[in-house]
Amino acid sequence: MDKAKNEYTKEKFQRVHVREELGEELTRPQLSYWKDAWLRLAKNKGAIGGLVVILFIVAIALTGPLMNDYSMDDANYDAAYMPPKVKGLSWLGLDGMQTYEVQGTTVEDAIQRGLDGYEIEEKYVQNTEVIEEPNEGNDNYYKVAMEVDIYGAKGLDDTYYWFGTDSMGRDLWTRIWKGTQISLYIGVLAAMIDMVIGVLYGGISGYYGGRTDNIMQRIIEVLSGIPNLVIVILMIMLLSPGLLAITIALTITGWIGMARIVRGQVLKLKNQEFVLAARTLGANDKRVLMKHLIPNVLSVIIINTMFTIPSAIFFESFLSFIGLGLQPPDASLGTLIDTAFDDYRVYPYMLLFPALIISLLMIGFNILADGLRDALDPKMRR
Amino acid sequence: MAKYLIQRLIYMIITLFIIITATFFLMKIMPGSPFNNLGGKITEEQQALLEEKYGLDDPVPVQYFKYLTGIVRGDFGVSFQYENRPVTDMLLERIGPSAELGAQALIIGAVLGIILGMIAAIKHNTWIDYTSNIVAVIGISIPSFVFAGLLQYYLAVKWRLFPVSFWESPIHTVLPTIALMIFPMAICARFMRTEMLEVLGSDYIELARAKGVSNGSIMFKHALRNALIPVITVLGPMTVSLMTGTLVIEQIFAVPGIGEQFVSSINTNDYPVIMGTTILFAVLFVVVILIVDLLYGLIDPRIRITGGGKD
Repeated sequence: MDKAKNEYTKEKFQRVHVREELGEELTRPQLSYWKDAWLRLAKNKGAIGGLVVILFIVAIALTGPLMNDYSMDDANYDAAYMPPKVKGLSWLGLDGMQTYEVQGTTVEDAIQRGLDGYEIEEKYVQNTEVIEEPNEGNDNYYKVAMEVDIYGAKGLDDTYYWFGTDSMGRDLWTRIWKGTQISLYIGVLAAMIDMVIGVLYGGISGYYGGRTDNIMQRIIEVLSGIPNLVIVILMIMLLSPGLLAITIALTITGWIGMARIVRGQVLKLKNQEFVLAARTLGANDKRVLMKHLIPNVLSVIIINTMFTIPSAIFFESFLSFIGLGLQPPDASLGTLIDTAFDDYRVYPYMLLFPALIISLLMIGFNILADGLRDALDPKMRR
Repeated sequence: MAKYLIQRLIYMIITLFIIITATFFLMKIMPGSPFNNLGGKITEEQQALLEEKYGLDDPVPVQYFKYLTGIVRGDFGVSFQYENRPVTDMLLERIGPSAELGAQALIIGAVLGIILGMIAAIKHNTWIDYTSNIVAVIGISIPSFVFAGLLQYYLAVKWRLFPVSFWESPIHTVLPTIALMIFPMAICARFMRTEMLEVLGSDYIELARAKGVSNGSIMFKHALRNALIPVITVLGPMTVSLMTGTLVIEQIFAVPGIGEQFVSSINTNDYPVIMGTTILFAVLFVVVILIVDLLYGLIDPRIRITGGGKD
């Protein structure tokens, strides 16, 4: 111990070059608000996962329809109701096998009826399984599930429909991704409406205050009292269902929530010193609003927009589902799910894929929106 | 308070008046007549007779005035599709299943959501919390018709645990109720968790702990009561979701309710039924929003009810 102490003599210590100008420097690089927010977001595994899911879906939605040679509305009645089949993915169940449930007085009878009914040669039946013995409840019939190599039976051995085909033999892969494009368009549209109409309306209303604010708020009050659904349904009936009608309907109703939030924020900010300073320096209204107030509300705007997107996507698919949205032969995820409902008992894959994609898309946007809220506005963290 | 109430009521009436007027005139300029569906089976003369019978040959302002005065008396006109059925009767007949389904979904969903949210907050940052968060996100994200389809396919068609559709006995109500309640449950759970966390971090809970109040007593007597108050505010979005939800859920499970009727009346151009249902929905919505605002002010005196309202 003593020895060690002795080794550190005063001569051994000298000051390194002194730089006065660094005296005030912070040890860590300064982070801008946005960088800080990004770091917080990047730490949130869920939000990043959501972002990845969204980007993945966007990428396939844009390129997917080009990946095979089928087009959106090429009907091919020889290949109707083909189950999904992907080369090399048969272990995932995408093997082109179709299971039919058939009934008969004996097992053989049931299978024979199935073969006749679906016009299949016996050699293509891969597997049979009795799922119900005769009993009172089913009029003493055997119920048999038979697995059929339908691609072979129809002589389409070298054909692959990745997501199967629908009742008209249209390729579902192409239709589903085209439908996803519609959902994404609706999402982008809703975001634009929020950002442009909502922000301007709320900003102007809050900034000018007084009489202007009063009138604008009364309009909002009345508009928001009308359920969205009612406005949308009325617009759609007026314009005949379709993408245009949904677009206009969203334009009428979509911005109200955003306008309210922006107005509240602007009311809070407009009396603060930095606005006064800007005005003293001669900034006009437009400049104060666009350069000083809106940037300060930006985080709230982004958060709110992110929550609007999934609800708009839901609304379009909901309308399409009840038959008020897109009309055939156009397809959106909602119409695809709606048509799948007609025969999903025999062909569940028709329901599965669009349902899966819309659910993933909605979950992705919701998780990302949550993450953005936590990252941009730590005070609002839940 | 009284002034606020009167002000709100006036807004309500204006809103409803605008909805009724807009609905009426949109119906008038809409393409297609209710007798189009008969497709050439009737002559022009017969069509004129039918239009006279239903008052469709009056000038539009007269029709409008008749309709307005009718509504005040609770008369929504006569259905075009079902011979001489008053719309009011049709709606009344159908409101039962819808109300039953809606009430079941709302109550079960809210209670389960509150329990889930409370447990998540108490077990903050444990796997229970994470799981309930995931459940909430999924519940908010997955569209009700997708969820209903999955339930119907697995629980009814494949495993035969429940009837596939129709509305006959309590067991028939199970699947539609689950499908409809998942959204209210998720919203409630989320909101409850946030509020509970906030309350649990507050000073009076610290004080109660310092005094040695038992954990259960803190949770139920102190925290739960205060955390429950703001949950009232989600009643608004919940009602909207129930309204839109009933449209699809009733269609999927063949429930003879208002939603199913609405969708079919749109497809048959049955104007009086469409208008009647639209107005019914609007009234329901406006009244619920008003009740929520009033309740909130009554229960939580910290909320000042002023003309500014919720801004």
